[in-house]
Amino acid sequence: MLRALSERPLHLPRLRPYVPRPSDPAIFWFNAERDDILRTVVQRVLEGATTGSARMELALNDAAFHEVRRLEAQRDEESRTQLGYYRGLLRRIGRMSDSEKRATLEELITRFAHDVAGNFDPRVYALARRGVPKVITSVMDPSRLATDLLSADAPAIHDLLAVQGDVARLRALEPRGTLIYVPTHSSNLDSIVLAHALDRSDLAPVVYGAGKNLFTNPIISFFMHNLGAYRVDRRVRVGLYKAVLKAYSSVLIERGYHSLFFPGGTRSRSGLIERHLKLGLAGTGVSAFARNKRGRIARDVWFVPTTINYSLVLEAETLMEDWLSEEGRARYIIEDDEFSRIDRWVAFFRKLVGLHHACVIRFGDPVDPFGNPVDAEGRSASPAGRTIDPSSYLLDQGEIVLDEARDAAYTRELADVLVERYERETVIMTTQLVAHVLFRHLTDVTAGLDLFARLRYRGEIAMPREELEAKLGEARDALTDLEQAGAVHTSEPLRTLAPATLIARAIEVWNGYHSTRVASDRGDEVLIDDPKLLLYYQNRLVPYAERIAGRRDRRAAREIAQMVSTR
Amino acid sequence: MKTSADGAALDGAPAVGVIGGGAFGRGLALAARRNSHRVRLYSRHPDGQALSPLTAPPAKRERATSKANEDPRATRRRPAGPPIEITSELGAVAEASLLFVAVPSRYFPDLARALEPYLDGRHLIVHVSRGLVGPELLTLTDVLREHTAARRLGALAGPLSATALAQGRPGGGVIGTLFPGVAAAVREALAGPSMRIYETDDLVGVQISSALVGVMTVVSAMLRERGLGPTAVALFCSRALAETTRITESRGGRAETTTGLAGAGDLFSAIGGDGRPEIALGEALGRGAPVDEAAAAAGAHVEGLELATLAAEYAASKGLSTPVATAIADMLAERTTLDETLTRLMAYPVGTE
Repeated sequence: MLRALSERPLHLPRLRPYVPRPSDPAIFWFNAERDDILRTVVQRVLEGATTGSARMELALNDAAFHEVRRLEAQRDEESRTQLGYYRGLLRRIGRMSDSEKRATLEELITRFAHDVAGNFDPRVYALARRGVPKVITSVMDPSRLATDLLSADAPAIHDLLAVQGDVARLRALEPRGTLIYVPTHSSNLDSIVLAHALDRSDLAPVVYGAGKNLFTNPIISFFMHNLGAYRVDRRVRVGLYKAVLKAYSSVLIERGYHSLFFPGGTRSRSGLIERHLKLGLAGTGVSAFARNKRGRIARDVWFVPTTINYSLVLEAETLMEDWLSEEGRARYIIEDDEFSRIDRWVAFFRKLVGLHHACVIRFGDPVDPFGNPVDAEGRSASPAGRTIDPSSYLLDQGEIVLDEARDAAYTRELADVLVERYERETVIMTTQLVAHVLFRHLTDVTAGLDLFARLRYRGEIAMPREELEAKLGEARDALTDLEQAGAVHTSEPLRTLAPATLIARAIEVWNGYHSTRVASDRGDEVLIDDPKLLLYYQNRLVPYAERIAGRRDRRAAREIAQMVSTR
Repeated sequence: MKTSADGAALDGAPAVGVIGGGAFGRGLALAARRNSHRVRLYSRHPDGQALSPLTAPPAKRERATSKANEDPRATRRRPAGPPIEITSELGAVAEASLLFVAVPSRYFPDLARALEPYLDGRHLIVHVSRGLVGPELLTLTDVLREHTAARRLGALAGPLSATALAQGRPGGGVIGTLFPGVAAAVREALAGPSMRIYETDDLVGVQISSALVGVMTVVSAMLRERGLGPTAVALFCSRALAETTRITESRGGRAETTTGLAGAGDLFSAIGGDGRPEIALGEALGRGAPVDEAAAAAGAHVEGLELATLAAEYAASKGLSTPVATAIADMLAERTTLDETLTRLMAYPVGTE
């Protein structure tokens, strides 16, 4: 049953259509605009693919070949219904006339576009606004889901999640252009907690290209389908499909739909802050900006670098396993991780309930598509603070031109800006700093060993409590100094609690959720049980490791920085 | 109305701007004029003697050059064109969309800040300087990005010499840029039958290679001055190139860039004796002159001898093995003598290549 639910879009019956108000964000008009958007997408992709007979044939061959290969390997419901079509297509292409090729291309593009396109149901949105916190917390006890959804008292998610950053500026920018949120990515929960953070901050909902694998969780699937998410199937390798995705996201941005992309492409396997961004679909923000400017449409595009910081990461164990295994690097989609297992959700949320600020979302200051800072009026500023016209970046001999290669280069430049912003906007959590100080100790006493040899020290090395507390205090003070200098942020508990309390909280949060003990308190010392998970949590600290190390720890800190950066 | 140094009117935007009136800046300006572009050159000393040939009409000037060292193919191309406009205002040179920057790297941060008020997104900026900045080995395009709003940046490197550019002798280089439009503009400005401009998107690799080749050139000249033969020089250069590759990759560049025009290509040209000032500096050092004195004797701003030190420190912080850079850094800091350095390098454990 759950399987069927997750594979088919589930919609509420259409009883009474919602009539959007003028003050509603663009997404409330989505269903009215949907057909028009799809038409634009199909037309745009078709124009690009039909510039000559040879090109059309190549596009058709590419589509048929890749789909046949994928469906043959997949052997599921989709294969049974689709494989015949693509095999037939592969045989027919050679005999097609140009007009048949064109018609078939249009058919394929339309297919892809409909597969991608999302839906937005304001009723589901209203339900989600009231219900999502409850859904999340009632996962702790699925049997109470129905009663919880209907009851009036919201559980304590408010305290669980903290939102930081200049939200007022984002609110001011919303009606003036399109905001593209580009957060760090550690968990499949990210899109949900971000949606909640937006709602809580009175910011408009966003459209989001969700990986098809996200739809494996039936609860999430329902909301995804009805809250404007469009589906991205990473298994499809067809060029036309990618063109459809790009065109779709570009058209949405051009039309003012605030959007969400994870520019890392996939969840950070290692817990490291992302340093190599591909940007992927987020890159369409640059060309959408160019198209609007060329069409004299007064709608700017701004990127909001955002960090999502967790005390405890739902999928930490699977992600870390994946990072450490050689084959893991090729694996893009994990279908059998904690995210799709209800029992892990239960354990996870049980652990977090009552934990003050277990997740901190921090909205960084927005930038224009060329990485320049933007004020509340939407004006771009040069490094010296002069107002500059962002459309000047599109000029060629005095004319605004569309140029894919140029925009791809701007996108790469923007990726560098985001990487730098992530580092500054990261909020260090208690578990991460405690893990770092413990792991640094492990590194210090196992000097000269490589990473894998270190990870075998399970339950063998302990750190004297007194030393741990002292070094944790030192590291926290150094981090606070860095925070003063604008280089990083710290969570409120980390900033305010005594080192002894921080250690106790970290151990308490880890143990009981993770399937192995991470560290254990043995009175006058703390034992390192699972270096692997410690490494995962401490990896967030890698960019700052050398700067927060005391003189005696500098060598170990440098070793940590080098060890991780060479992987 | 803006006026040039000699009072002539500077109306309308030129196609190409050149910042820096040194040999390289003058060479770039002449090469662009040869391609029939209107060129404006910024110099802090607009009345300097070296600039006077630029403002003369091209036909007259080129007739005056000696036939002996001029390529006959270049001589046949006699472009007409207005004289190069000389200005001492950054605002005037920034009216051009394509700007070449040819100033010593140590002036780069100041120049970038001074240029900031005149730059926006329309500018294409390409520099030809050798140099890296600070412990993180920031490239000069990093410096431009940090201090200005310009994004379409590039670095032109490789076996380009100021004389070859000025006289239109056969030569070539590589433009590192993420923007194909920048490469196209540079080709349009400079390329021709005697000037080949290759292209790469490895902007970091081009700049690191080019900067470190500068150091290698000095050291190789030093070694020769000390009577060491071609084998020792080749040994040094090859190992130093290998270290350059490690540093390049660590900064996100690609190994093949080091072995291309910006690295090996440039080094071949230097060793072959293209008359660049680093050679004179290296020879003076080889004769035992103190660093300051040697630099003065070379008669040019030789960029980044301290770069050997920066590179060695950077490599140490990243755990890279760079024994040559470390030995050179120690010698330049006068912690070791040349002979001690040689002994130390020759005694370094031999590994697989």
